[in-house]
Amino acid sequence: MFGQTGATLGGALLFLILILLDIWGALDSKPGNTPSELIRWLSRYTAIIPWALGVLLGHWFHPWDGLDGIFGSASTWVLIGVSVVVLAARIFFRQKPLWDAWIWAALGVLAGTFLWPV
Amino acid sequence: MDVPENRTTNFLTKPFVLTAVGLIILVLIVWDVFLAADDIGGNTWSELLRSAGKWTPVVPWLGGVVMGHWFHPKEKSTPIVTPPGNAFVLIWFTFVVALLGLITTVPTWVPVPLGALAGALLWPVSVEHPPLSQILGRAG
Repeated sequence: MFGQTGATLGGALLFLILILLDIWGALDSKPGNTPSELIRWLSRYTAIIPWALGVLLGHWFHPWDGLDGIFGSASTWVLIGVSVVVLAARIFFRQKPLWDAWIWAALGVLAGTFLWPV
Repeated sequence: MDVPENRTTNFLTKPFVLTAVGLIILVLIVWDVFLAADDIGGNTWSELLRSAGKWTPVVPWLGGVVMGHWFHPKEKSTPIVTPPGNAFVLIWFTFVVALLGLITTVPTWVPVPLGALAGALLWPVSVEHPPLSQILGRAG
């Protein structure tokens, strides 16, 4: 239904909406309501947001073409399991992130690279 | 800058923005599932972004910039170049990265940490941290 051009344009349009929201929120009368500020704020309470973005960056931009997950076909399940633990730590145990958001993002990049390389 | 309070400038409440961002992410995920399931090859977001990253280092650079922008280490961080100069420096660096991609092959992973560093130093988002209930419980 959507070829490469259509998918690219659609994705770009969604990101444009996100950027416009960010600009609008920065210019309006309410403080702290841009998507960036809210993402930063939420990441203080749960590590899943920086973890997820890191995983995606590692997934997309890892160094080696043709790389497979280090646990073979189980790698994706290992990644899902770790991500569920990261998410559940906040929801079920009310555990605040053990480390700063940037450490979770960096760990996510490594996980995306070695467990889910595209 | 003082912005007057009216319907145009105060309708973006925090719950509204969080809902909108959540919906955008949901649409991206559902759309990707359809793209992965169809007969056309190489049209998922992951495949497109991987190939775009090979085409120009600007794509992974911007990914890194966003990561540094959101998840820099310091709680109350200010740009090392005073605004609006920081925006010009960031745009200039992005231009240089694009040029580098034209004259040489840049490995796709290299721009990510460099972009994260640039995003953290030149464009760190800074926000007060009220309790979770205070923001979700009140309309804005």
